Amino acid sequence: METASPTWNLVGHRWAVQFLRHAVDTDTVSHAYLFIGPANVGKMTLALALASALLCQNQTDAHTPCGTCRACRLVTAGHHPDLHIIESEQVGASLKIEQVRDLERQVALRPVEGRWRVAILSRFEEATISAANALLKTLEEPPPYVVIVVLTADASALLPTIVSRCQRVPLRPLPVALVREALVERWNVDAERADLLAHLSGGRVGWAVRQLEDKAAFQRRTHRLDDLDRLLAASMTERFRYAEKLARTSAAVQEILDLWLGWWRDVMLLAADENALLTNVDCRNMLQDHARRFGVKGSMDVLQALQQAVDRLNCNANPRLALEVLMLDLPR
Amino acid sequence: MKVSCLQENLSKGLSIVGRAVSPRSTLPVLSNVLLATEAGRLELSATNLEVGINCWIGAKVEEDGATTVPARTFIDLVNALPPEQVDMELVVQTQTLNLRAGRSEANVKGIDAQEFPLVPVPEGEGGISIEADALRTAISQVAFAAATDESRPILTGVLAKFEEDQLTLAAADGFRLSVRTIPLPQPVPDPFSIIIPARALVELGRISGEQEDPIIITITPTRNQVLFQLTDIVLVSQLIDGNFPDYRQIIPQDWMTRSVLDTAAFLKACKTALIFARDAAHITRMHVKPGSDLSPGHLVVSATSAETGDDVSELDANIEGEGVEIAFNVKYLIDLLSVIGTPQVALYTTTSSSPGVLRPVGDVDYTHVIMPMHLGR
Amino acid sequence: MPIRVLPEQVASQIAAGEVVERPSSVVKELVENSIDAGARDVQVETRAGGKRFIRVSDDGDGVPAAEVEIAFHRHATSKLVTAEDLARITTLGFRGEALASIAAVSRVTFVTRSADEPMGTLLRVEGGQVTALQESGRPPGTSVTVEDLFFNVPARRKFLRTERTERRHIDAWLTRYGLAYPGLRVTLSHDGRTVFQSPGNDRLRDVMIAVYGLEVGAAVLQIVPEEPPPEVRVSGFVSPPALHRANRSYITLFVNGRWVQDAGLTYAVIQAYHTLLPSGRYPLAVVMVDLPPADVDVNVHPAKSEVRFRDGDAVFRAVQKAVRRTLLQRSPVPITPSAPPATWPTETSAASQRREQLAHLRPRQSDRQFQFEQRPAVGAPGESVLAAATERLPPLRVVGQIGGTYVVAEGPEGLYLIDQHAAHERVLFERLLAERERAEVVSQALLNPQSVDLSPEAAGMLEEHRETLDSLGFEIEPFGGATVLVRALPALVAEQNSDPLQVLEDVAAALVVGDAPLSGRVEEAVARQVCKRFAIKAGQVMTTAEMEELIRALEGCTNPRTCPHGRPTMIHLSVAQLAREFGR
Repeated sequence: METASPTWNLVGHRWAVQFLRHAVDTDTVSHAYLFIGPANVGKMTLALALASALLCQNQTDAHTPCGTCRACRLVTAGHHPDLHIIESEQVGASLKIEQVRDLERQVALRPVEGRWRVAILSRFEEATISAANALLKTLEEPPPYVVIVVLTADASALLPTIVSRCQRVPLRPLPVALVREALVERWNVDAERADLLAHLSGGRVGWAVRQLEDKAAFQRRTHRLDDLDRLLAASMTERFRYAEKLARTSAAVQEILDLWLGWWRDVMLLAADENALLTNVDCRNMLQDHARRFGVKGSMDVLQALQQAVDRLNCNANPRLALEVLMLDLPR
Repeated sequence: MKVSCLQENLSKGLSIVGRAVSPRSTLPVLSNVLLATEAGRLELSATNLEVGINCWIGAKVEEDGATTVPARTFIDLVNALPPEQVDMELVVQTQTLNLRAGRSEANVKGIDAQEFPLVPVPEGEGGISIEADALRTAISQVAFAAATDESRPILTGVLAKFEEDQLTLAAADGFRLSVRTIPLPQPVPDPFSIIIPARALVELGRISGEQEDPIIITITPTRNQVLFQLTDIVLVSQLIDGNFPDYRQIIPQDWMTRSVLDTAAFLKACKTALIFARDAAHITRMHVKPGSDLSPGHLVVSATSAETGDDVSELDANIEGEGVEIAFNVKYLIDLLSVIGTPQVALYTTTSSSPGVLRPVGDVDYTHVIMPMHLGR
Repeated sequence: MPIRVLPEQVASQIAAGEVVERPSSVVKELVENSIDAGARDVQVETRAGGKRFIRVSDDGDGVPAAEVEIAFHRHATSKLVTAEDLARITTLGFRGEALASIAAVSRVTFVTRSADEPMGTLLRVEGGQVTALQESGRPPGTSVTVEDLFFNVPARRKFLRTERTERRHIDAWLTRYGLAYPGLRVTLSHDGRTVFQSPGNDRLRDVMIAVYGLEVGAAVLQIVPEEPPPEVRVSGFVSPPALHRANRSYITLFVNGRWVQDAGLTYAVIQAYHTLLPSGRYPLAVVMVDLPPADVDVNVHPAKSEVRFRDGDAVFRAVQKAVRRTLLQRSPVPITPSAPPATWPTETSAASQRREQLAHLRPRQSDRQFQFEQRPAVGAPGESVLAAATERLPPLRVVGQIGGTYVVAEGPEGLYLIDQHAAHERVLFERLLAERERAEVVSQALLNPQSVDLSPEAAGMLEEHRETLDSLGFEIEPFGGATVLVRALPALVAEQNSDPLQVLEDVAAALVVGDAPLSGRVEEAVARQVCKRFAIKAGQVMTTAEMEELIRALEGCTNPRTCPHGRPTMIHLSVAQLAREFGR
């Protein structure tokens, strides 16, 4: 890894880094930030970079974390005694009031090693109402040495009173080219794979890196696209059987529907003769085939049905019911 | 690191620092004890990021170094060793600590000492010296009144106010207040106040049991920690940030009735009342009955339980002023009477709804305030 | 309708028994008289829980001057003339004893004016003796003032409960009349404060809003009428499956306009929700059953809240079917989550049906609060519904504790798994309310008063219910704006090892969202919050002695099977169930 970098060693998010750097440089760090952006876009990485900038022991170069001192290393590992990372046990679980209370108790004590205590609350949309209310109390009058960083994919799912008490830092997906470049340069991915991953990542470096770590991920994608193709030709009984099976594996449903959404978006683009923006660049033949068969209108209908299924599942609809409706709407 | 020491010393040192180990922390290294060589001694250290305890024991150091080992495992292991010399050697590569004592040998897997939180050490002179016994007594008389609930972190702390040649400790939990003043051998140049977690002071009271020399108090330059220096032991406490409520406003200046009671008899009556009061939110009634020229006054302590029965104790009391009836949480009274330390105690009251003040007779430096209870209308 | 003295024969046919037992029965009799007199607007005022003063005024027909005195004869009624009339009862106060009985034990001032007469009449009766009879002016209608109830019967006076309890009984009756007669405007005030008013616009849903609050009122489903109208007509409102309550007391039944307590009909309503509600939860319902007067015998009990049907099964089926039909047609959630059909119907109908069901789903945000948890049903489906919720516990023997959360106990009827937190909450709740009745709630003063910032609505609620809060140990006062100053807390809370002031915010929040504006339920809402704070938490290891103490206390509870929030305190596995599970 490189040493002191003006970008805090992040891929992209230049504006956000500049904004936070300026605050650190001029000693005008806000007591609370809200990082908003899709999952795996880099919120936690940025929050840890901010923590490093505040806690780094080599404060030589205008508050740019050195990345090598003990404090920086402990922050990166999530083990710094003045860094508190709070999140639900797993994606989809809730962040509980006890966790916020515990944080409250710890931040009442002055910092252990540095000048600051940094609290990162990840996926805060998963906080229970009482947990959110408890945080509100801390946000109202935080001790002067506390910096709270709330991370969320969906600011509208938070209490408005929490949002209004934080400085908002929106993080948008990065350009595909930037992700590709980073994969090649930092993670030593070969150009072809980097290109595909960058496209599929939707501009989320974290997602692409996770795919690198998860060997089976690519295989799963292939299977799921095959399923999609097969279902188009399948009988209604087969489709319902598939829906039933899918409904039982709730964790994967969201992933599959997202994948399909991306797929039909490509189909629609191809049908409209738009080649430049494709995501699934490795499956051009099948995309072409679908585009020919279903056209712009057909693919748009599928997209709508898929989106509806996603929305319904978010509303806690019976997954099987929602998926069956989707199956009925799939064209042949 | 290569070091030898006596099993007894190691075991004793671990029993002191072991109290600061935090077994269920998000930071794995906090469930470990730090072992580090220092100027011909072995330093043991543990912290839960609120209280940290360092202890030095005599040792023969062959090679300097440091590591951290899981506290539970290590303490159990050391206690099981024969009372002989223990030889320890660290394999840096694997962070494994090899122990030999007598015919036993063991290997304990550790975590790099670099991960262990930095523990500040007292630097140079300039600490505030205080008599160990006086501090210990003051802690026992004040710390119990601090809040145990975390909703107002300030109240879980004890205010320590250094002013001229006095240290005042104060704690309050919303329903009672305890204030103790102790003399300082040397006046402080500038007055200042800090808030120390009550838990840290209780721990200090516990580990300073054998301390005879004065305890030296130092505040770190960042004002983040306070250090209590004992012989071969340093306790570091993180400080609580914020403003402590003004306790002086709470102590009533006037009273209508002053009852002087025998401490032991009063405590006994309260303990008896507790048997019945525990079913009724610990409410216990005090009826102060002034005497006449011929007969002494009385304090009648009574408690009633709808389920189990009732109890009445009459105590002789020296009473100045009007008769009054007032009720208190008897647990609060028992807490106080157990630590007050004088044979006689004075209870100052005004009305049944104004605070009760208790002071040891013959000791003006301790004041305890308890808010009354009453029955709903 | 002119008043006549009942022939002796009729009078004796009527079940004997005292009509007047407490202030609420006075209110009930007088209101029923008003309804019978064709009133559209009935106003009820009480003081000191009705013990000192009750006045019921109406705009009904009024009694002609010539008949005023006769109204106070025992067994006088304007409704029944012969025994045959009893068989066709369509009005309520058929026993005719009401006025006379009331007048015998209090001081009654009766002012009435028939619409046909220019002047009204004032009659004063004290302890049964007429002390004044004179002309008096008032608009058409009747007003009856009852003062010093039981002034001449000290023995009865002694049995009156606290003002609060008496008020609660009156509240309960008035609410029922409001629900039974949506066209009637009912106003109730205690000590000068209006506590309940029904709109009187003939819309039952509006009355339900007045009784249960806007949220419930807006959510309830109107019972779908059957076409053509059958002999037994069922109407009213029932809660959708997502809205449920901890006990069956939210099921209110009326037969031919009369409030009845009927275990069978209540069960018919619950049955209709079979598999739709988490076990241990009950629907909220206001159900009107109308059937020919000849098919129902109302004269079973002098309190007149029980009925006997000529064909009970038919009525049961009619109610069960009507409610079930309503749920199937109007329920906004998919109703049978399990058991899909074995074969698929034609695609089009299946698709449209699913789309329709899904179309009712609301967006995620607002849905969050209403997600209901599915609790495991005990034993075979249906059995849990049958278990009587109010039954006391048999003596239990503590076996042990599981996971620091559940107490295992054994009783004559099998195995009991008891949720220690829920059970302790129940014990504290009943104890606290009992202490409150005896004015024995212990309050602990604060070292220095603490201010608590609330929403204006919450602060208003606390202010409005200050008296109740006071009786439960909270000493508070307004401190400008939406801030209240707390001077003392219930000792139970004060001893608690968590933020003592938080409880006040919880109480305020509970009062704000509470669906019951009537005073009787406020104390319970407050007590629930206090107990929730204090009760032993899940995960806390208990000694055997502590567990035994808890179980003993639970055995003493009147409602041991649910916690004050309505969750079950225990799972019971009967000996038979155990045997079945093990295949013995």
